[in-house]
Amino acid sequence: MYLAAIGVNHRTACLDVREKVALDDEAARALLEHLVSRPEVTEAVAVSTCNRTEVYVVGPSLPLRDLVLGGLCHVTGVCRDDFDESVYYLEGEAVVEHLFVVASSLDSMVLGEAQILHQLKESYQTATKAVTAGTMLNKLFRRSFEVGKRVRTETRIGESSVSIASVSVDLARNVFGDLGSRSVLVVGAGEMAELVLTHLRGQGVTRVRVTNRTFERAIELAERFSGDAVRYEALTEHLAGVDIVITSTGSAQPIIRRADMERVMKSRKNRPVFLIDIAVPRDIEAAVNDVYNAYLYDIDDLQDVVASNLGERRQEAALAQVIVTEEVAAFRAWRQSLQVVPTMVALRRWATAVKEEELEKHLAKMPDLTPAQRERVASLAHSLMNKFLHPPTVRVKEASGEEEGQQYAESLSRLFGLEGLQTSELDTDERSRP
Amino acid sequence: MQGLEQLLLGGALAAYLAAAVLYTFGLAFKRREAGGLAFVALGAGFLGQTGSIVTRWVEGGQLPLTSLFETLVFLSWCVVLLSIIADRRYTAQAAGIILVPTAFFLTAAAVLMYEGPRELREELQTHWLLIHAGLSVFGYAAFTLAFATGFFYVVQEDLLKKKYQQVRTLIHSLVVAFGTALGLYVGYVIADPTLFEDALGNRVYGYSSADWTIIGVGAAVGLAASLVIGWVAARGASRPSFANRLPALDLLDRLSFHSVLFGLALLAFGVISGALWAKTAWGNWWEWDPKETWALISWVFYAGYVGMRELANWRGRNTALIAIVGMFLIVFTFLGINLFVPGRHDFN
Repeated sequence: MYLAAIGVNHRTACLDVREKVALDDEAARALLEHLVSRPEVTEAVAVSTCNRTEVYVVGPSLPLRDLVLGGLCHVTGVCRDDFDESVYYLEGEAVVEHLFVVASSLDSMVLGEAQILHQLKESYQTATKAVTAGTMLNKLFRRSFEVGKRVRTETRIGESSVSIASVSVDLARNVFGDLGSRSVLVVGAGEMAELVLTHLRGQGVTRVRVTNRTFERAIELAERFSGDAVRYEALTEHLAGVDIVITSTGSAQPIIRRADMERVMKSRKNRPVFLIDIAVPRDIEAAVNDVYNAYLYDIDDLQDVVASNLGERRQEAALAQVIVTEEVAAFRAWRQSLQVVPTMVALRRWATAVKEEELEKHLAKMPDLTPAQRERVASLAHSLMNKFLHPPTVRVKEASGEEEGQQYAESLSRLFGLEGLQTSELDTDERSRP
Repeated sequence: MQGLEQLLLGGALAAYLAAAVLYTFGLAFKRREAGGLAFVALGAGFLGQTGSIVTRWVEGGQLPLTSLFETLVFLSWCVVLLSIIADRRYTAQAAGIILVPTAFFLTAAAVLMYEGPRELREELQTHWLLIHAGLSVFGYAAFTLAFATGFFYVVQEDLLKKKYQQVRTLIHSLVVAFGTALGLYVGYVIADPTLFEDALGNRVYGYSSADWTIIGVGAAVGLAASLVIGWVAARGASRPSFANRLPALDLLDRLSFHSVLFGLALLAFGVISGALWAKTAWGNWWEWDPKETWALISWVFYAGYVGMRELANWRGRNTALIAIVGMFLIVFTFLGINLFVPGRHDFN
């Protein structure tokens, strides 16, 4: 039984192509059922997220590239030439490594993101519902979930914030600790400002004031941000009353200057204030950061923090790769032992058959033996068989995790003519049921 | 009994070392389990030390606060108690990174100069001693907590304000200053001054050249170690993810303020009880004994912290700096006086 995987991801294909081959639950099911209806495919799982579409298959022979691609075109209705060059095709151990890398989020667009593991689980579930995942893919996917979990708990790959909004929240927490009782002033509109606000709300912030040059617009925004609209003319007054300020106006000139902030700080009695300036050109004079207990971050500062955090994730990725390598080796050992065990069972079955046959033949020629003596002869034959089989059995089992073990198993199979007797576990094992 | 007391104290010492290492490890590598384990070790050490103090108390019949050894043990006990409160009540684990090693070195110094309970001069066999010394020493521990939180306030502030740039020098110099002071201090504690009378008949302390060597080596080791540790720490600390591991500015500021208030109250009662004791024992409220004077100076200094914070809105960096500078005053008041200037508060 051989493993193969075919797919496109954010590295090999643009969004345009990924969209076309994306599979919803129904399409995935159709593809899986289509594939296993073919004799060349015994197991299949399809993974589809916005960054990748991948199909994992098991079959009695390789290659399976064309067959699976054909199936994908059949289900999605995409012309094969449209994406053929974006496709990667993997076989054998490379498939195992790839899935483990994906599960560890090492292959994700945002390194260390947590979504992928969840998406993999859903894809696997679809396959189990369609009863297209068997022994090999069951083991492979379940293992990949473990690998993903291990990477998340044993490394810090997912810990640092890597978006402007989440970094803003981190910084606010560094100043204020718990944000639940803090208040926010949003100056101007903007998607990024809204995103930051949403993240702050996630930390329990409820008191939000919104202002804009025109009060009507402020009311509109306040509704959208579910805050209170306040007049722009009273900006300084409101600066004195809030803890966090987000500015995102289209003003060409700074709207908050150092001198303003110094006055504000006086009426704030130096209570700290955290200012997030998302506007380009900037809304807040850079020198405001020099005011006692005022902390100003503009978009570049926030980007620097994101970059630094991403750098940390990359360092952690090296550790994650070590875990993946380890797990790939463990999986290899499992697969190989799977191939050795049936051979040893067959060998033993063959030897037992020979022994029984010979015993019957010879005992028939010795009718005068007492039952005790017959017993004795039988036990002699049995013991001889065990003695002969013992050394090769031990040796093959010892080597079962390595390439060598597989070679032994193949040689034994050929030398003793075991092919007919051998029943692979992969064939007999039931496909998983939902 | 002395065996049990020493055993408990030794165990506490080992536990503090483990806690100090774990706290530092937890901050450096952001391992939550390390923080939890550190707290367990700290708690175990605290129980052990409490046991040793109680054992000595039962045996000696008085709260052990009469010799330098006993005072050091009590001070480190107070420091540990406060870092437990900082850890649990304020979730400011970072404070433990300074407080727990401090407690460790205090305990270690005490262990090095271990002595059994001694027979007290008659004038000291009074409850005044316990009240007076206990309150004052606890106050010093509170100021140590204010120092630790002030220290991390300045670090966190610089990280946030300077956008993780140009903070290496600051962190490096903070660590070097702390390490050198610690080395110097340990050297002083290990060095054993002898009391003798000079030509005029005054009692003065004298250090032999061997003592000076010990002090010098202590300072040198502290300097060398903190240069290396500081360099590594500064490199690792000058990034946003490290700031995330430190307590928030707001928390550090509040904790620092609360510990100063607590310390002020304790030291005030310590000084007042001392005055009352002096009045009942010697008939005078105040004698301008060097320790009295310096305790008063320290008190006024920290009262300045509260004053500036409340009246001039010096919350934040400025008050954190006051708490850091104040630590030197406290070290001098607590130890320097006894080592350099003879007076009524000598332990002998």
